[in-house]
Order: sequence, then structure tokens, then C-alpha cells
Amino acid sequence: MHGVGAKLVAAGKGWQDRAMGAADQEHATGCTRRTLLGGGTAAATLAACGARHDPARVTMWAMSTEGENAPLLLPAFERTTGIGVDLQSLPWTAAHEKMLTAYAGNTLPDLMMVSNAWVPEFAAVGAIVPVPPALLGDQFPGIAEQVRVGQHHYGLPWVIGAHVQFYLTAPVRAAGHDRPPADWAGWVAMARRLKARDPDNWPILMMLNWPEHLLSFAVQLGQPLLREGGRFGNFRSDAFRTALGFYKSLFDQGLAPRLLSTEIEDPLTAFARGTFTLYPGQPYMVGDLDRRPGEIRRDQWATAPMPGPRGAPPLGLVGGSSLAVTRNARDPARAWALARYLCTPATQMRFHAYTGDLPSRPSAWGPLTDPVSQTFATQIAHPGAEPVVAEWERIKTEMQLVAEHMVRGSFTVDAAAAEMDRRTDRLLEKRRWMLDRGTST
Amino acid sequence: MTRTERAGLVFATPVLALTIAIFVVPTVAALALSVTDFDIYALADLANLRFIGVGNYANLLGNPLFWRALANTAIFAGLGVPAAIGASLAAALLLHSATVRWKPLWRVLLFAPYVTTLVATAVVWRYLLNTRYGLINRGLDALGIAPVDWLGNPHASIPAIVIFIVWKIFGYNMVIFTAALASVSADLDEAARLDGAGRWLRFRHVTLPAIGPTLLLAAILSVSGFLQIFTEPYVMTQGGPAQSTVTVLYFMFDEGFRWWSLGSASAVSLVLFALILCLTVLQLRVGRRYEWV
Repeated sequence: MHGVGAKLVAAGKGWQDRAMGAADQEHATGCTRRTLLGGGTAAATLAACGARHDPARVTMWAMSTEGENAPLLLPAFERTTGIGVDLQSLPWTAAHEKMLTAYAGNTLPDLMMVSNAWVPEFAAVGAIVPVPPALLGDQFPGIAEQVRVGQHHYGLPWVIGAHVQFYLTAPVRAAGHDRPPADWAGWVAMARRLKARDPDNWPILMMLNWPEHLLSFAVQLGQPLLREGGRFGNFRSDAFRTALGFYKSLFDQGLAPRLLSTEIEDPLTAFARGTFTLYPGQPYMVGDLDRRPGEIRRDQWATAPMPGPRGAPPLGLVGGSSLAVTRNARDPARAWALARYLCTPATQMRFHAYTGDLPSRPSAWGPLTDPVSQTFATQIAHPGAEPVVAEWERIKTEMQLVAEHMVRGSFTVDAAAAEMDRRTDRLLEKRRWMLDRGTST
Repeated sequence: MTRTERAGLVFATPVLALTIAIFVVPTVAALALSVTDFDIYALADLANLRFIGVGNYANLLGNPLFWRALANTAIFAGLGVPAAIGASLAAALLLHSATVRWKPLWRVLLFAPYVTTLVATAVVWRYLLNTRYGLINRGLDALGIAPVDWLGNPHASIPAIVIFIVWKIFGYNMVIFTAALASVSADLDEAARLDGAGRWLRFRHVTLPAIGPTLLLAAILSVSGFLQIFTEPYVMTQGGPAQSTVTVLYFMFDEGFRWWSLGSASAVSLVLFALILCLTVLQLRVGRRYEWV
């Protein structure tokens, strides 16, 4: 869930950030233009460029915000341990397929960042190996469950995501509220007032190609999304159809635009300009907003948990990304040393300062008493359950495609739920066969 | 076997071997994959591979998205091929006119889009096509036409991408047509003019037959190009909105390289192969009727 949400960064940020990404990449591979131009002898250049294949160095992949900022944490690690790190930054939109391709081609790095939702898939095919139990203390229980497959945990939670709403304080106050109402009915009533006051702009932004908005409503109702141990889809349940109907009504009433992430070049600027008042999103957006003091200041926006069917505190979409050591790791001990360093509370607090990312170790949360962090803390304490099956990433994608068709008028709520189940059951056919043979969990 | 035959065989063998290695073997392998359910589980452990015969093909035929992808591809080709060839031919005819000055400059300018990077131009065109701030809608607005939600409306998304593709590729065929037009006999044209033929009649009966074979070549290449459209929707819309720009190749990429269902992706690729083969044979038949080949 954090995964698709962070696409925003890839799609939305400007050239400046992209240039920074390139600089990081140079820093990370150690083969910079500077070494090539000014490095002197050919031998020195070759040595620098050969660094990538030096088995003593740890190779690591990380996505977007984390991939761009992790290099700031690495010098301290390299100094104290003497282990060099080659970090490569990937865009979220291409990360999942790149990892599968690398798995097929046996070119996975030693350590990689994976969305918690991908852990079951990569564990099922043996792409990643179990985490040494010694690293697993000090975890949020709901998060630790997401990365557990059978007896083992396959990912070490690194950054935590929770789906909460960011909102502009001025229009919400003008609509007569201190903060957005916590129940669906009150929330929609406020959104209608926002629309009536400012018909040119939109009360809510929910990208039509991102599944987390619909999912965050769906998990609030507490019904599992798959049934019979992940053998069939459960999208026709009353609970899911309720959530689906609510989601559809927001578009039907004109409270949210029918927009794809590919159509909106910079959603944070649009948010700063007031094009949207309520913008459900993830912790990394805190860092992104803080980096734009010229456009929006901290006192102009705030966060609140997503509204629930009967008020707060509802269950919500909680997830994040983990670090996983792959089966191709040449020296797993060194890779785990890097993972352990990145997950120490002190390192996580430094990372929080750079990016807004929230620490995965509960013991690191002591100093985070500001209202924004507390919103996330509240939501993280109430994790809704997402299925832990290898096919979930694809099922989620199909679910959202059907939901998009529904929002554009090709399906009714019931027909969309039936179509989601039909597609899901087809995707789970192999899983059912493997479960029956006893070769899957 | 005579000596000449042996010599011929020696010369042909390397080419034959290469053709078999890079064309026949992968095609046969794809055929073999397409009757299995090869996927990420099978990649992990071959014990998870099942032989399913025509199962992938049956699933494809029962999958509305596959039909949608086929229809989308047909729309892309149906709109794109005439538009691209028409634009190329029109540009070439304009440049061929004796009254045009600075011909090399115009040629370079019109050819430039073809050699620019596709992804970079696609990103620029996304800005041009933006509903609220885009230059194209500003232009339409000046003409009094309501703004079009180019990449957000499932009905406008294919035309929007076709406009971009035509702009991107017409320069290539334009150069080929320019060369072909240079070979049109000036004597014939002159004679027809003296006999009282107008512009259209001279184009229809002098120019067109002369450039017919070139036109056929351009049509075959364009059709096969448009049937393989992938990058443009991948960069501009990611197949959206509402899967309205998912083409056959995009569908295959999604199945094969996004989700690693290689069995089903192989089935798609073979269907696409058969489709392109049929269309090319058809075009050659048409060409033969007009004695262009």
C-alpha cells in the first residue's frame, strides 16, 4: 500500500529532485563522472567502476524517497563497519516488475526494500530468506504479522506507512469544523459544503488507479477480503459492497475528480494551491510538504485518521516497507548488518528528519509527540487486515481496475463486486491447486 | 551434390544457422511455453508447472480484456496508419513542390521528431495534452472548442496518443516518399499536363502508380508498427483510463513481465504473430493486384 502511494513521488516531484536522485546514484555506485574524468590512471577508474562487483560490498535496492535519501545514512555505516554499500534507487512504478525480472535472471541485489504486501510473494518463490530472529524484537505486532509467512518472518520492517488524510485547515474551518468529522456521513456532509463554497475545486483527491483509498474503506469494516484461507475472493461480502458503494458515491456526487495519477503532474502543488482540500496519503508526504516552504507551511495543513463508517478510531490501512535479504546475497551476514543498522532507533530518527518516514521500532517513537506523528500512531495502533497471499499485489491491481470501470459507469456496485470475485478466483486458481497438493501455505 | 551446390550451401549455412537460432528456436520455445501455465511458481520450482494444452488460448478468448486489447489495437492501427501515411505523403508532396525554398531545412525540421527520444517527447506531450493547462486545449479554446480531457476520457485517449505517434513518426516515411517522388518521371507528368490533366488526375495516374511500391512498403511497415504499439501508452497512460489504451502488446507485457505469467504471455504473442502474418499476406495480395510488387 505504501508502494503504490509513493508513486506520487516519482510522478509528482520536479527536476530538482530527479537531479538529486541522479547524484545519489553516482554516489552510490562509486562510478561517477568525476572519477571517470578526473580519476587519473585507467587503473584507478577501472577499480572504481569494478566496485559494483566487489563481493565485499553490499548491493542494495530501495525505492523513491527511501532510495534517494538512504545514501545520507550510509557513510556512518561504512565508516564503522568497513563494509561498502552500493545503493541503487528504483521508481516505485517499476520496482515490483524489476524485482521479479531480477529474480528470474538471478541478479537480485544482496538486500532490497520491499513493500510488506510483496513479502508473501517473494517468500513463496524463495526470492528472499527468513530474518534472523535476533533482529526481530521491538516491532509493532500488526506490522510483524504482515511479513510473516508460516513460521518465519521474511522482512525486517523498515518504514511504516499508514493511510491518513492530509487536509488544508483554512477551508475545513470555513466549512465549520476544527477537523474533518470522523464518521462517513459527517465527512461527506462537510465535503458537500466544501464543494458548494468552492465549485471550481475538489473536496477530495483519490487517484483512480491507486487501490489504497478503496482498501482503506474496505478494511474498516473488518471483513476478510479473501475467503477459505485465501482460496477465493470475498468481494461480494456485504461489508465490501458497503465500502465500494461509499467509494463510488464520492465520485458520483462530484466530491472527487475522476483522475489518474498519470494525469496530474504535481499533486502536492495542487494541494498547496487548494485544488484539493482532503488528500488521503502516506507519511512520506510529510517530508515532501516540508520541503516546499515557499508553497505551503506546516500551519496550513494537518492530518487526521480516515473517517470510519461509525466514527473514529476505525481500523485503517497500515503497512509499509521492509528490508529483505535475497537468495542471491553473497554474504548474508553483511547484508543483515546493514539492515540492522538501518533499523536502529537512532538511524530511524535521522531518517525521519530527512524524509518524514516513520520509524518501525516502537521504542524510537518517544520523541514523536507532534500532532502529525500522533495521527499516524493512532492509525498504526488500529491496523486493518489485508490478505497475506502471494497473489495479493495483482489482485489489488485488478480490484482497482474494476473499481475504476465502476466509477466511470461501466458497472453497478454489485456487478463490480462480482467481477472482482471472478477475476480474483481466476488469479487464485494456481494457489488453490498448490494448496491441494500441499506445496503452498 | 555438385561443387557449386556445396559452395552455395557453405555460404548459406551461417545465415540459416543464425535464423534458426534467433528466430525459429524462440518461436518454437514460445509455442511450447504457451501450452503450459509457466509462471512465477514454476520459475521457483519446475514441479509447479502444468501442461494445460489450449488452456491459455481458451482463457484468452474468454477474457474480455484481451478482446478489448485487440479492439484497441485495431483502433490504433485503423486511425494511425492512414493518418501517419497521409501526413507523410502530404509533407513529402509539399516539400516536392518546386516553389518551396530551403528544402533541406524543412526536411530536417520535419524529420527531427523521429530521432528524438520517445520517453522524453511523451512526457512533453503529456504536458501539451493537459486538460487544464495544456497548449492544445488552449488552442482549441481560441477556436471556441470546449476543452477535451485528452488522457482522462476513455474515448479521447486513443486519438490523443495517435496524434502524438503521428507527429513522432511521419518524418520517416516522408523521407522515403521524398526519394520515391524524385523518381517520378517528369516527362510523363509534363505530357499529362499538356493533355489537360489537372493536379488530382496527374497525382492519381502519374505520381501514385510510380510511388505505389513505396506506398505498399510504408503501409506494411506502418501496420506492423501500429500493431506493436506499447511504449507510448506505457509512458503516457499506463494503459488507462479504464484500460482504454491497453494494446495487445501491452497486455502481453503485463502478463509476461509484470506478473511473469509467461505461459499466457506466450499465447498472446503467438496470436499477435498470426495476426501480423495474416495482415501482411493480405497487403501483399492487394499490392499484387495493382502490380506494385
